[in-house]
Amino acid sequence: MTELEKIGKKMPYTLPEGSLEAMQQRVLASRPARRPLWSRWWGWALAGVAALALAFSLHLSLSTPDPYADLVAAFEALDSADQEFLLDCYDVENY
Amino acid sequence: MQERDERILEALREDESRGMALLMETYAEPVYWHVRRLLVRHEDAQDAVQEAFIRIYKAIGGFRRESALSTWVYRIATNEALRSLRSRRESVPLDGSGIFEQQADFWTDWSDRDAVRLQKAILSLPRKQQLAFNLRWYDEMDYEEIARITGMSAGAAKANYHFAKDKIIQYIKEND
Repeated sequence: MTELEKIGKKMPYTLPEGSLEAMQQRVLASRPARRPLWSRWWGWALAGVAALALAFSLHLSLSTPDPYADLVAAFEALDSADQEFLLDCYDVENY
Repeated sequence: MQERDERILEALREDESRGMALLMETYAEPVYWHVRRLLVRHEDAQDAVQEAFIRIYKAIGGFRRESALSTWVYRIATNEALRSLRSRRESVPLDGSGIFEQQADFWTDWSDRDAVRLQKAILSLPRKQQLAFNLRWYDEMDYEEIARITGMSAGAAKANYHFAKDKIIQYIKEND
């Protein structure tokens, strides 16, 4: 057996009584307090309302009536000869 | 150890502060001794360990299980101890032989001459050898785990441990 093996794991250090327990308390107290649940819900609720408002405004802008919709529908209802006649008239007027 | 870590992680999921308390009950003491062997002085070791556990507490939510919980805890504590040593360099000579006398405090027991001699021998070693030796000799870790904690390869951990052990035996013989 070597001298090292005889010494084994002995250490010349001592640990002041209660120091690890006190350290544990300090570590646990170091964590910033979490916001209460209702406060976190309030944030999510606000985000939800904002998302809904955005979706609604997008829906409004997409569903605004197209002023040319009736005109296009009427044009599509014509047969091809009438459509060409109308386009020719339109071109002539534009030139 | 795996089962114990699972219990801690389960407790952390249910209630973070209770889980953290369980983690500290399990690891604070072995980690303290690991750091104390590197820093010698009680107050320095206590500060480094406290800082390490505060870091752990802040980061525990992001623990990804890429290593064992114990490995992760030891790695953070080791880094904190090394940070403390780097900040001390200006006031302490790099020659390790006098570090024990310089850093020994009220919480050092000079009565056990063999134990003092062993710590002096360890502190005279290069840092990597100290880490490899301490983690293997005192914490009984395998080389893979030592490698994950220290950032060296398992082969390097093994080599460093054996170099360290030979030098310690030699030191003890010469300083009998």
